[in-house]
Amino acid sequence: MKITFPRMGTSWIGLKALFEGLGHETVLPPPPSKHTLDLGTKYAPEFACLPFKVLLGSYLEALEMGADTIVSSGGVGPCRAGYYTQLQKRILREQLSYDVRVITFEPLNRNWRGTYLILKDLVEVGFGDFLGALWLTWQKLLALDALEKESHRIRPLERHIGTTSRVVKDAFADIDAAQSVDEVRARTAVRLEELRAIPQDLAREPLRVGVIGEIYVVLEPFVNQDVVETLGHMGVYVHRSIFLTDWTKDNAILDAFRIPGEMNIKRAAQPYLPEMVGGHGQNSIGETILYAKRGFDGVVQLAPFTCIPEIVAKSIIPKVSEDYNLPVLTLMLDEQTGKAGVSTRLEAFVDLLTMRRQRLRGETA
Amino acid sequence: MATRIGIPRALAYYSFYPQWRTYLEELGMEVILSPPTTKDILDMGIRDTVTDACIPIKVFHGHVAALIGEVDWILIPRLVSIDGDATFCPKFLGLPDMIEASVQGAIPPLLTPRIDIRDGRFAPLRAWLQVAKILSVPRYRALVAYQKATQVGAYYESLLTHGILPEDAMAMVNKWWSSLQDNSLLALAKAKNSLLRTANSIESSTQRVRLAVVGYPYAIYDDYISCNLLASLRRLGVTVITPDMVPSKSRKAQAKRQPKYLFWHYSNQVIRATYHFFQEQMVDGVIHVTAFACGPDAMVGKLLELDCRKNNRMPFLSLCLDEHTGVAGVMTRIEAFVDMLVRRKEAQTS
Ligand code: SF4
Ligand code: SF4
Repeated sequence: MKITFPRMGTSWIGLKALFEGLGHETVLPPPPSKHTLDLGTKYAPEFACLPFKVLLGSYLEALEMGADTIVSSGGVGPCRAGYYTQLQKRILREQLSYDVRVITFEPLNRNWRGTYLILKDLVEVGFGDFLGALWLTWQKLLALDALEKESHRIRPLERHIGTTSRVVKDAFADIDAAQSVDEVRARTAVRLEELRAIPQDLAREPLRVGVIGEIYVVLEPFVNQDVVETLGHMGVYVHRSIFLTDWTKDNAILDAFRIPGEMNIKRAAQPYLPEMVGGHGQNSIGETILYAKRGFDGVVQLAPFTCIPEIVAKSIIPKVSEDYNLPVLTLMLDEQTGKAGVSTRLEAFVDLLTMRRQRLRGETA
Repeated sequence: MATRIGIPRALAYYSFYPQWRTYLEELGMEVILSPPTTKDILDMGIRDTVTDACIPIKVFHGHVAALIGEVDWILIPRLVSIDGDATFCPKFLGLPDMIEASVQGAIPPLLTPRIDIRDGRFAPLRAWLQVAKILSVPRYRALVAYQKATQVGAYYESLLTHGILPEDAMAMVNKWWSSLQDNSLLALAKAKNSLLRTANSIESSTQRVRLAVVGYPYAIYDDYISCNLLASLRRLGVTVITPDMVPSKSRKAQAKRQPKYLFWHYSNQVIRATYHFFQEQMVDGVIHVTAFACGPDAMVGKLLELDCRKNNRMPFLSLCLDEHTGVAGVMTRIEAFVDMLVRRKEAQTS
């Protein structure tokens, strides 16, 4: 089997290690690009959400590179992500006549047996090695998240714009190359030190902005036009609400045992949106409120065009924003969104936040 | 004066109005329905919603705005799941919250029973009893009202499966209800059954072109949103069949043909009804009525397209509606489509 898999943010580094550890050749799709999106847009339904289009484009690229199997995750709704592979499979096989196998991992809690069967088929190594591969993957994902979090903290303080991004990029390559858990840990430690050693202007007091929204567009810089980095370069500290490892712990793992995760966020959302609406809709409301309570200066909501849960959230956010007096900028992303447009809107938003902070400080002084 | 409860003539109205109305009236309330959709209603809806919302959601907001000042309460059930397999579209799940957050003006308090059968067989009943409690109606009275409402709902649904369109079916339910001498539960059940025996089934002359118009009831049957689609098709001499005309049992039987159920109630209805039409060879073509930027329909539309292709290349037309869609544009497209079907049919029979 030549396996390819969805690409979202840095997670490919972990997934690549996983499938290689299971004894497979992997075909890593190139980083999503304009070409990827064009391909996906061409064959996806017009109103499919952006992640669907980018992923479809990625699969097509990987198939051209020789992949014969796609491994992805499923879901149970109520939003569309869980149906992605069903439809992508039909588009690839029926409409485009690819002879491709699509393997979908459904959420564990209703599917222990199905998962076992898939694994039996997919794992070509002994049980010990299988656990080893899982452990290495998880350690890599943890390392990636730790590095990225640290980069978010340091970027707004760096004296020379771009240093942090350079270091963190090398660090990711390092984690990708690491062969063992020990190596992952050692390299992470070194790179974290390197990040902290970046010349910084500690006198700055960066604005603090929370980034919320749908998981794929929050995690994948290509589709969000590098929002996190752009804000960082404007001297803003960005707190990204979603990291893959936290998300996996709170959702996939707890959910397998039917324990609801992220209760604090859901509780915060109650007065405005007591119902789960799929995706990150309810989180977007809850997180906005929590950011307000933690004294953040603003929130940026990222949502793919036509994203159902985020449209529900977007309809309610103005009220939350008013009640908590916290500015929120919503960016609806689609295949026409360009970097220049996003930067302009971010700049205007940051200006607004700066003035607002001055005004608030003036009032209290 | 009786308490006035408003019901917006949009979204789930087309599926549940007779039932909801009976329940509330039996509780002693006065039910006030918003008027049919007009440009003004749509405009109010556009004012109160984010641009990204689909037209049915915009229209719903407009209907709520139209009820302001006319009623003491507005009924907006939070429909989560009524079949256990699927939920409603997430926009239904968050509907009361979107309304609270965004309709301008002094909206009356909302009655939002949360209907989720996954919480147990009696969960919907409990939710409706809660409504009665809020309205200070004694429990026994609410229980009887609920039973009657269920009967009326079943009668309405069966009228739909006999090929009667919602507005006509509602009128029939109305007439029947007001003609009843005795509307005790027992008499109700009897009267309903004898009526149903005499109802006609869908006419299906094979000479005429038979067209499946599939989509969500609130898009197909709202003449303003659909730009008079159904009437126009009938004027073109076409026999129209919609998913609501397929008995729920037959729809359910098609579920096995879905490798994975869709997550949305109305979407499953659309797909399963279409499979039923294919299996029974009931139609010559399919029109999918969908709203601009509808999330679920991005999936449903593509599935329908692929399935029509698989089913002997059944002619398929997707009609995407938004606030800029005009009657003339719709007319041109359906005329061309129907012409094609007529020619195809002639070629096949000759
Ligand atoms: S959350 Fe939004 S973008 Fe993600 S699958 Fe659901 S509808 Fe699509
Ligand atoms: S199913 Fe589509 S049309 Fe209906 S409410 Fe949801 S998004 Fe709107």
